[in-house]
Amino acid sequence: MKKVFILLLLLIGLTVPVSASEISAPEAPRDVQQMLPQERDSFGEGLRYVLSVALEQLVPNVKSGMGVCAGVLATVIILSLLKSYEGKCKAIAELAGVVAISTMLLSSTHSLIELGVSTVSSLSEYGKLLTPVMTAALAAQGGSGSATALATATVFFDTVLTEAVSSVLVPGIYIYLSVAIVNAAVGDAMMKKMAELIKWVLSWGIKLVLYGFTGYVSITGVITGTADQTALKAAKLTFGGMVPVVGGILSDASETILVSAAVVKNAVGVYGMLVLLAIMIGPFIKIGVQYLLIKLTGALSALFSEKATIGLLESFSEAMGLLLAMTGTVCLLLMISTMCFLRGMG
Amino acid sequence: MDGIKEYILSVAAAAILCAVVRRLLEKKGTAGSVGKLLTGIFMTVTVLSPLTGLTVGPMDEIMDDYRMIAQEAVAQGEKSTANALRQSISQQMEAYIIEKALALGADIQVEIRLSEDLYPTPIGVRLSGQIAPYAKSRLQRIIEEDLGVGEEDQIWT
Repeated sequence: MKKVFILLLLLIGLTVPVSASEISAPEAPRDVQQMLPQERDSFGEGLRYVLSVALEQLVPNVKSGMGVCAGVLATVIILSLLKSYEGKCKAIAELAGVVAISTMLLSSTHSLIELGVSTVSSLSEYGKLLTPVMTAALAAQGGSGSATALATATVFFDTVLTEAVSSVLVPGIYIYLSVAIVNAAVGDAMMKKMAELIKWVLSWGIKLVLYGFTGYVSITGVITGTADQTALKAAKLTFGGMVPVVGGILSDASETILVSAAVVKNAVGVYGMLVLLAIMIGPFIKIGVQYLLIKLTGALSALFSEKATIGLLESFSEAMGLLLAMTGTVCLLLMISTMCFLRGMG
Repeated sequence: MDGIKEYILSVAAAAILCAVVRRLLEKKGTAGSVGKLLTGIFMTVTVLSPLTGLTVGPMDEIMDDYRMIAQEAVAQGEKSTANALRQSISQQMEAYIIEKALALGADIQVEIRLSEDLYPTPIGVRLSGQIAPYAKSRLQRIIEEDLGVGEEDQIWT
């Protein structure tokens, strides 16, 4: 049922009649429009603008993240004092510490996971609007074979990754954190191995999708790109066999149309990539800041604490790392696809 | 995808259960050793048993659906190019004939009919306006030689 819905969504996006002058990039979501530059001719300039706007949020993110980490560090220091007492107090202090640290970090982790999921969803939705436009633009330039192969791969891998995020990766992160918390509480070697296994499965799952996509577009791009170039050259040769005036007019007209199609494609592609970056960069920085702050807290905690607490903090930072990988991979997949469309006919 | 999620969940739940049991039986001598063995077997079965029933979905059908979507978009792009090309070719050829007619002292309107090929060629011309017989004869020859449209396909109104 979900597959039928996705197909319908994509087909609706294609029912709008398109002419060479009507191929235009889909509008950016409202919440990122203020991050986009007015001049969109140069990708480099656009990238600098998007980054500069995003980095303005860096300091507020650091301040909000430091509040939680300061609380964790304070808890670790108090625990280290309590653990100096022998007997049951030490065991209770250890367990209380795990519960307290987990409670403090789970709340911020949960909101960042929700942010990651909504970012992936926004990226995927925009990708599903951008891909048909880039496909039509590349086909208009004469790259029908390349466009078909690229669009098929992009839609397939994007759908697989988005499905994997909601069905496997996000639940997997929660399960990983649960196992890590229990491991910190009971200190079982099997639990530690289980947590490492879950983390490995999640990170390699993400990498596999990206490697698979990159490999597929690289191989098919060479084959279909060559075929498209050959078809264009063959078409140009047929002009030579026509009546001279007709052949000349045809050759000039097709050259003009192809060049204008390339210009439109490049404009759409540059704008599309800037929008994808604008959607991803804010949440990526927010999650990245939390990742670094937890890492820093873990390093500082090592001065006061034992393996269990350090391991727990390490697990939370690894969860942030998985979240970063998940968000970044969806954006990277769509960016690679757009760049391949831009490169399509050289 | 739901199958993978359930698998991870079942493995994690089993791991947590086994860890709690092992912790409770830690210093219980024989009971602890037996508990460790049983939890180990339980974990092994939990991890390995779903993998024996693993199947992969019909990839061809899934890819065909996405290929169909891609081909729809490609068709739209090709259509846009074809329309633009036809428009450009018509305009240029009409302008060519009008230029030749003006050089012969005639002011005419021209409508070109193109073939339905990927790279369309002229197959008919409709001309109207005032033109001297000699100029008309010259123009007809020019259209036939330069554009490949025979006199029988040139309609004068």
